[in-house]
Amino acid sequence: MALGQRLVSGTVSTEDGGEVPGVNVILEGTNTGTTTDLDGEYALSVPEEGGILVYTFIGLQTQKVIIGSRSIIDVILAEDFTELQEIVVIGYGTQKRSAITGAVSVTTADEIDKLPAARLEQVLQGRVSGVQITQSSGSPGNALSVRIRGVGTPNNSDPLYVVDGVWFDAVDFLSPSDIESISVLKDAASAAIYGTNGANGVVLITTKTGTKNKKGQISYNFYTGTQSLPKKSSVLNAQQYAELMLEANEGLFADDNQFSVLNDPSALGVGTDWQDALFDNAPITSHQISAQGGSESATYSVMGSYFNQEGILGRDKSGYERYTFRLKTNQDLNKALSIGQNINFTRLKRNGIAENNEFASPVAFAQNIDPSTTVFKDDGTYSYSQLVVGDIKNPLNRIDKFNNSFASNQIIGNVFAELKPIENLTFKTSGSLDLTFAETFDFAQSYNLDPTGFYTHEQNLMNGVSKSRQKWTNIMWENIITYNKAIGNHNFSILAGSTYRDRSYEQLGLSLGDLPFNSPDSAYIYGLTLDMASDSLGNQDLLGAYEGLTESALFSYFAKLDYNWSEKYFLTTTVRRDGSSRFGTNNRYGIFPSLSLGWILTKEDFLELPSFMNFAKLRFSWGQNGNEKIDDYGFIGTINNGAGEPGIRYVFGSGQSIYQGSAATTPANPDRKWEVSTQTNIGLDLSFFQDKLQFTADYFLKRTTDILIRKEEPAIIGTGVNFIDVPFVNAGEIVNKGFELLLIYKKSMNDLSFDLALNATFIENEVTDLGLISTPVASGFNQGVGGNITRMEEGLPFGYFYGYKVLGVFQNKFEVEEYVDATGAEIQPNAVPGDFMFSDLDADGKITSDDRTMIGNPYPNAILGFTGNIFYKVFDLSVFVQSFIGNDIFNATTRWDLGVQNRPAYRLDRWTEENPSFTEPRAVINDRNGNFRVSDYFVEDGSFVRLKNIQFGVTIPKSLSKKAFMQKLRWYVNIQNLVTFTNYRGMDPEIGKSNGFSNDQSANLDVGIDRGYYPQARVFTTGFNVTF
Amino acid sequence: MLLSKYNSMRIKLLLLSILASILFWSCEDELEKLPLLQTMDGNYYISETQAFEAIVASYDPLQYNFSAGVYHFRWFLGNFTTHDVIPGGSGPNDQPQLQAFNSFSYVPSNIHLNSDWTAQYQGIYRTNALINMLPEINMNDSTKSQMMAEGKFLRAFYYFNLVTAYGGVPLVDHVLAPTEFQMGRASEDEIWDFIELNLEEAIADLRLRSELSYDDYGRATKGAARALLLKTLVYREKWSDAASLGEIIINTNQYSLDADYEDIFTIAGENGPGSIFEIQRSSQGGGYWGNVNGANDGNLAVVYQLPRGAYGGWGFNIPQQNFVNEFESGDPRLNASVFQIGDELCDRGTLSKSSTGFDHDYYSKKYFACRSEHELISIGDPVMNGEVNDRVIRYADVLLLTAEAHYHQGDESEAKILVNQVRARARRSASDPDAVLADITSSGATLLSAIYHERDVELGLEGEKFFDLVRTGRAATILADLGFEEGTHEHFPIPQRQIDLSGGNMTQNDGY
Repeated sequence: MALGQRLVSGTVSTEDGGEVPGVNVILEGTNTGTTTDLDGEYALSVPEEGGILVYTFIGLQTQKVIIGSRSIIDVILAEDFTELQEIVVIGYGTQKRSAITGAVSVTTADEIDKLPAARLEQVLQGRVSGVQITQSSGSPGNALSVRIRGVGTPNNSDPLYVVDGVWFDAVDFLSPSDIESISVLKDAASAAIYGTNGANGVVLITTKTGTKNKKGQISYNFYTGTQSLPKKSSVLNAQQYAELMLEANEGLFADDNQFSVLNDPSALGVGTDWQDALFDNAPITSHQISAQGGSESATYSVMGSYFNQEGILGRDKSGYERYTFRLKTNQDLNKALSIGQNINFTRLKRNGIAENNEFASPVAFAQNIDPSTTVFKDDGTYSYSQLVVGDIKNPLNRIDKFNNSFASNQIIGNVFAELKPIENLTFKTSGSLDLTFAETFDFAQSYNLDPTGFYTHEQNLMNGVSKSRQKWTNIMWENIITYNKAIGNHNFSILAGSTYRDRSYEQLGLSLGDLPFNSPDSAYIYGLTLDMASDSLGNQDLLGAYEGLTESALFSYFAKLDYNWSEKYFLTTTVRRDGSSRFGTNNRYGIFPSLSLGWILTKEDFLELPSFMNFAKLRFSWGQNGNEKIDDYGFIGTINNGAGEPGIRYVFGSGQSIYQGSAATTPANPDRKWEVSTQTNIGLDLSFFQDKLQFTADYFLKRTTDILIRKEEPAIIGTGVNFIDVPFVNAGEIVNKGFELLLIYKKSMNDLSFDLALNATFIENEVTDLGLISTPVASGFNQGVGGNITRMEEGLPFGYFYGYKVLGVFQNKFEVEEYVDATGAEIQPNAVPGDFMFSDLDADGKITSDDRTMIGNPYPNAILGFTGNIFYKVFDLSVFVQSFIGNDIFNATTRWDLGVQNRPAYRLDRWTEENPSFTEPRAVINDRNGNFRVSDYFVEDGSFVRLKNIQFGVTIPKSLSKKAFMQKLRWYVNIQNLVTFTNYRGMDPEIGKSNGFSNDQSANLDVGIDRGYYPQARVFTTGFNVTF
Repeated sequence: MLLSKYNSMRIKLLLLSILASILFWSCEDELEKLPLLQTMDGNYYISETQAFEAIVASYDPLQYNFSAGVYHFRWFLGNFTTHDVIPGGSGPNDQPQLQAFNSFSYVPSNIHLNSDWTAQYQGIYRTNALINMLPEINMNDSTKSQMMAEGKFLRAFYYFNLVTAYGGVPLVDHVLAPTEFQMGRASEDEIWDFIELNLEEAIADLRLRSELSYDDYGRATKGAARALLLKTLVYREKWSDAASLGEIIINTNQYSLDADYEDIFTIAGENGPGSIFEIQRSSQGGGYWGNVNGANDGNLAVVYQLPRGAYGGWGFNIPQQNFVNEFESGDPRLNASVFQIGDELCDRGTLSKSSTGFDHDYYSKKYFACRSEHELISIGDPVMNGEVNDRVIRYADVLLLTAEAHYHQGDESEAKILVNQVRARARRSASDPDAVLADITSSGATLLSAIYHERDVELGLEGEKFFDLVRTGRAATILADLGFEEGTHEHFPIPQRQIDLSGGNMTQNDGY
């Protein structure tokens, strides 16, 4: 070693922990340098005073490090940020990002692994522009609603999920940690190749795959933590409650009844905080292990995971547990032929508690039951309210006495063979079978909280169990031929294929009442015969049985042509022809075309673009998709034989026997056909400063025509008069248009690097035509306000809130008397001071149902997501913020229709003569003015900004971890839902569609109404990732 | 060398064509998927069993209390529109469209009218399907003609409910083809004629009540068809035909007044001697909220009329002082018709205002069931499954209608005999029978008023009052202070929704 020199050594590795051989390590400004050996290690003589080392390797980012006084310098090189070269998964293939002409958003494993999430949708939430993902329910394992570019149909608006080429309606079976990348196909042109299944967008998921010629790596990820309730809904305490009730009663309650306890409010003190009693802290745990690797001709990926989450409501009563196993292998048999397989097994169990239901949700009960009642009686058994005696129950007893669970075993097998008979030609055939066996279990204990029998609202006199078995079978066979050719600067790629998909659903269920043991653990139907299925009074029908069986099939051809000239001008066109069994022979087939164009401006010499702009591309696309997600057999008329719902039965005989009848209940519609969604997309991608700053903008216009709506016929026809019997017809149009923006900034300096990404979505929705439907379609009934809240109507957004407009609160008699129509007659003659003044919109001098109007929109004007990652030496910090702006929530957590239940704390500001409130009406039991009808009083701004996730991690220096034979060891702490900024006064502002499991028109239209959801928990977790 | 290259080319081409043919193999036959668990329309109704199922389906809509998304009862129309009751519920804000009946402020878009209309036409559809297909079924001829007659009775019954409420309505006498869906209205007389025709045909083939087996209780009888025809004739003021038909019903000796008025409305009193037609109910149907058709076999009227609060009911159809005042002093029918504060509600405890949470003095007793008969039912949602039959046509009604017919025929003495029969039965259960309800001896207009009065108290809260007032031309005077306007409120409006769905082919009643 020369004088004044010293030795610096170290290891160069990648972010995933693998050492990198062959990295050039050069002392800046000199010719001194070396390369790393097979283990990624290097040693180099450097001047005593140090200098700067430059590490370069193709495919990885160049890094400069100041030597300083260090002698060991370990370096982690980030993947080279040439995202334009990145390969993106698209429909039936992959494409370089720079060549994409549609609107596709990509999320990769790096981001996915940042969030301790139970479900895939949680991973995507807020990260992808143009996609609104709403988690209405915080119940562990519950589905989220995913809406890509707005709601285009009153029917099922869920996107299609394609996992490693196989189609799914839902992806419960995936552990987020199994995912390598997710591409969301947003525009019609990108999704058109999925034809009739593409109208709601397509989510393409690739699971982790081994890499050829790579030494096997095993990684294990673990986290555990605790969940808690972030925010209570503020309600009156016992004293405040009693004061309000006395005021509403306009005097003391009579001594001879149970309400007289309210006559002395101060004696009641604060009473019971039902929410404190109801919510609990609950644990969450996840283990995930995977191994990937490959030889020269084969790759493998093995993954297994276990996830267990209890609920903050009822602990295990709303618990979720999941096991997943996945094996993915690929083998080249010879130069021309390769085969692969992908096997997945998932077992999950989800327990449930009723929510968003004013008659059954414990969350709603806790906000409505009176605080003067205790949770338990003195003897330790559950107490009951003697004041609130109707639908509102003791929420803890409710949870205790009911069990509900859903458990499924899902097996997915997928095998494929790929043949390359001649150069550039590939033939792939792929078959898959997706089998799900599920069990549901419901048990209701018998109980009677008031043994004297006077109060009957807290009793269930007969226990009962219901058990059912479901089986879903989904078979798919797909054949694809692709051919690539380049002639000079002309590059072609042609693809043609066919898909056959056959699905069936079966279920069998039994229910039994009056079981000998009053426990869910002993709820056996074992050994029972029909004769025995009667109770001591000889009542039959305690044993119920039901069956379901439906099938559907889809057969399609599709073709695609990609062309580009010199990777400067791009053209893609696709066409798909689908045939579906859900449509009658009159309209069984649909054809869905698309065209998209791209132009890379920065490759154009004549455009003298500034030099700091290193990439610019214009994109245009147009395409059509279909939607066939409706019932299976509606094109044909069927006889209802009385056993189904609604039952056709009548009673004859002195013994009053029930007889079954038969009649047709639904008129057939043999003419029904596809919903068609036509979408135009214009996009622009810009990159500056060698991709350090990236910008993407898209404008889209999506028009869904021939939407399938249940159309009511005149009642004189005698069939189709109830909602479920009304046949679908093609009527109407819904338009969604909007902007999506994505802004990314990345920077790296010595030990510090960071990246920031902001995405924003602005969507406008309008039902532009309801066709033959003569009147608006209403949904969203709520008992508390006694009416439907949401609507679908021409010229207005889908699911807008419909009700009365409150002008203010009458402050005195004169104001009531002065509120007159043109003839001088009082508009609200029943009103007294303290009542609401409603707007007489139609100016007919009365407040009638015609005075209702749009009072809110449940969908946000803007959806924002922000992610930031900072790396400093061994530390990393990531922050994820999610925001909805401009959405309204209809706060229906209070049973206003009932006289004596508890009220929200903001009622403290009610109008009284001493407190002239202009927003809160007086307290009143005998409400002649109808103050609490559906009005904008209940509509609150649902905008929120939520610090969805924050994670801090430490990666143990390689020199240390290596001693323990670990490639990488990272420890982190994570907080989910740490803080939410919102003006919404309920528990949680994230309110979406009413029911995650139902997809009928009325459920899809029931949006933005909070009837007491299971709130999302705040989750503290800590965990580690280790790679061997 | 050249040869082998040529061969390998050929092999590749061969392979390609095999691949191509697999790719384009068609699965289009697999797209024919038909329902697996249901019979298709068009190949049903071929056996006697299936004919019976069609009969059951024809009776079924009688039980509907919930159609097209909301509730409807005959007494919404027949009682809420009078001084006898107020709608009640939890107050003016509870179902405002129901409250509107009490002030004649209902509008064509009233959802309860649409609900009522829908249920009647479902019944008409079912009877049409039965009547259309019966001739094709190979079965016992006498059973067939009796089923046909039941179908015609029911069809007439559904139309009777429509014509009395709405006047002329679309006359649907067969299963409609899609081209006929948007039908206009027939005249009121055409509907009445159709009802008469159906009933006359039905009377010929129906059995007498005494010919029914116990298992057939609840099925339409000759007496039921005659009684409905009698009502029809009275509504049409065909007094002579009505008087003679009334006498036929009386002289056929199938019915007698129940010994004690109070027994009529009990569960034990169902299908009693004075019952001519009842809608049969069972609490064992297991219906529940989700059963959108209201095809509960139970009676929702029970929970609807039960006091609120601690008694677990919804507190509708609240009798008013007006109604109570209508009873002559000591008339035992008052206590059989209403509960007063302090009364024992069977096993539900003593009625007090504080326990109901409302300031009402009276509650209806005619659809009352004890808790043990109601909430202790072991299946479905007991609250929704009231175990009380609807008394639709009672013998007392026949006697009073016949009396009215005789009166208009000038036979006052026969009229008095019949009215006094009704009073005599009522008197019997009074504590001092000699002191109350003396025989009617008046004549002329006073006698007619006495007959009307007798109907008001005998048939109180049973859904007759409003229709009686309109039929006898008294509505305009008596109901004026509630908002009744002559020339408009004799008929309810045709549901606006149905006018819209008819493409404008149906016209609205005058005044709406």
